[in-house]
Amino acid sequence: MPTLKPVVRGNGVVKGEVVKMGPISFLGDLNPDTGEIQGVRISGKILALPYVRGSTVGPYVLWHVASKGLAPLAIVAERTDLMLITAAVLANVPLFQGRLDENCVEIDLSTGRYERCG
Amino acid sequence: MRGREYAVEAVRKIADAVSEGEVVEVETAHVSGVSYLTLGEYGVRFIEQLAEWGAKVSVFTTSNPAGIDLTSILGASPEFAAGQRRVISSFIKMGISPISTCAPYEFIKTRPRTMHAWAESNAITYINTFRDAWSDKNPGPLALLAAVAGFAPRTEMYRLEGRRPTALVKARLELDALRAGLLGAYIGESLGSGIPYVIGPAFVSEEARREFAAALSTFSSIIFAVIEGATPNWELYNRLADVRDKLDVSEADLSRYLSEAGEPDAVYIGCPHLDAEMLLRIIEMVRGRGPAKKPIYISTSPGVYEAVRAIAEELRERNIYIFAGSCLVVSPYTRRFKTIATDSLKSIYYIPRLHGVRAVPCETLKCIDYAYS
Repeated sequence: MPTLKPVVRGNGVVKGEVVKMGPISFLGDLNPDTGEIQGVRISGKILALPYVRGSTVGPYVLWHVASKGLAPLAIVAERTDLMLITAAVLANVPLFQGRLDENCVEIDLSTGRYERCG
Repeated sequence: MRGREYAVEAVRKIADAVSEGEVVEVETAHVSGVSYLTLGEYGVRFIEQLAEWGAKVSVFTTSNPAGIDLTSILGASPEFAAGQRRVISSFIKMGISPISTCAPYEFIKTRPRTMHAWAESNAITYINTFRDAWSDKNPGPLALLAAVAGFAPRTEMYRLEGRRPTALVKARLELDALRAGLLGAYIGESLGSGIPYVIGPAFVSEEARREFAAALSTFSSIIFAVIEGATPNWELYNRLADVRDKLDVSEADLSRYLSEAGEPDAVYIGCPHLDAEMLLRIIEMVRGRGPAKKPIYISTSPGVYEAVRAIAEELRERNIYIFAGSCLVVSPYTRRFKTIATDSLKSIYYIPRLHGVRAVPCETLKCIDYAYS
């Protein structure tokens, strides 16, 4: 079974659609009230992106989205940094390092093992 | 104490992800993300919640510029002012010194080889580069949580082996504030990341050192440069260097970011906040003159402002506004202008992006002259 490297671990297993994005800045790209990025809902989905960029206040935006119950199930990034990790910890969103090409996966949030949705 | 427990747990979790759980005790912290403009409602709510949970900082902690200055020269809407007040009162509740400056190194003597959890890239780069005091580029929220916890994740910047220079830069240049900013921007854009070991630059003033640190970290992810002969312990870093990149900077390279001034409708000096020496030179230069035709804005730290308060008040009648606690990068006031002339490369980068206002470069004293022409 393929495995993503857990960076910020969670608990349990989730299954969700994978939303693939280019590099984003949480401040500016993530709508704090709707939990949408460029009009695409990320809540209840798995957000896959290469890396995040932009303002270091970005973690507050993801925290706000999470406090409204609109957070993604997990984030998978090819490159992680202090800002993305801070955002994931604040928002309590499991974070993995790696790349997802599937459109829907089932991930074990503590180990990073995943498989394509059956 | 729910606030402290939350902060300790969050910093530990972040440390698990970035430094195999290792943390480093810090002497001071400096929090960025203070202006209501950049924080927004969501940032304010997070800070308020932490304060309501009884979080208190466990080390001396300062804060970055707010969106409104201490004497309200930079006016803002009542809604903005109310939002900004919520941030500052939460900071005070947590024990943060609401000093609102981006140059806290002016009055905090960060000694070589001491550890700090700072946010605000110019300040981090300044203490790493000119004092060999160690800080990583902590995101605003992480600096705040580390201030409460008293420790930060022990990332590479808090280890000697993580501070090895990776690039050799030759720049035998004499640098006033503008040129120091140009050099910082050029090195930043050319290298992108890593730790440059720089041979040859002569910074002619404190303002030049500040501008170099600010531009370098604005135009790249670099937050530490070793300046041969100037950075404390530079001989040690020379021995540790593991050079992978080389860069020679000539006079001509600095002109890359220069553009025609056009018709600025305001002049701005003091990003990072202006030091006393250059402020006094400017005051000397403008005192004998009549009113400036275009407004001159100068941001400085509260300490320097207090020292020149009487003159600052007198100069307001001559269209010169010296203020503390804010800056034109983070204040919505900036949006009333079309083109701002400034000696700050950091302002030239951020003012168009954050406010849609043009910013053009000029040498410090020439910027002042623009205001009279």
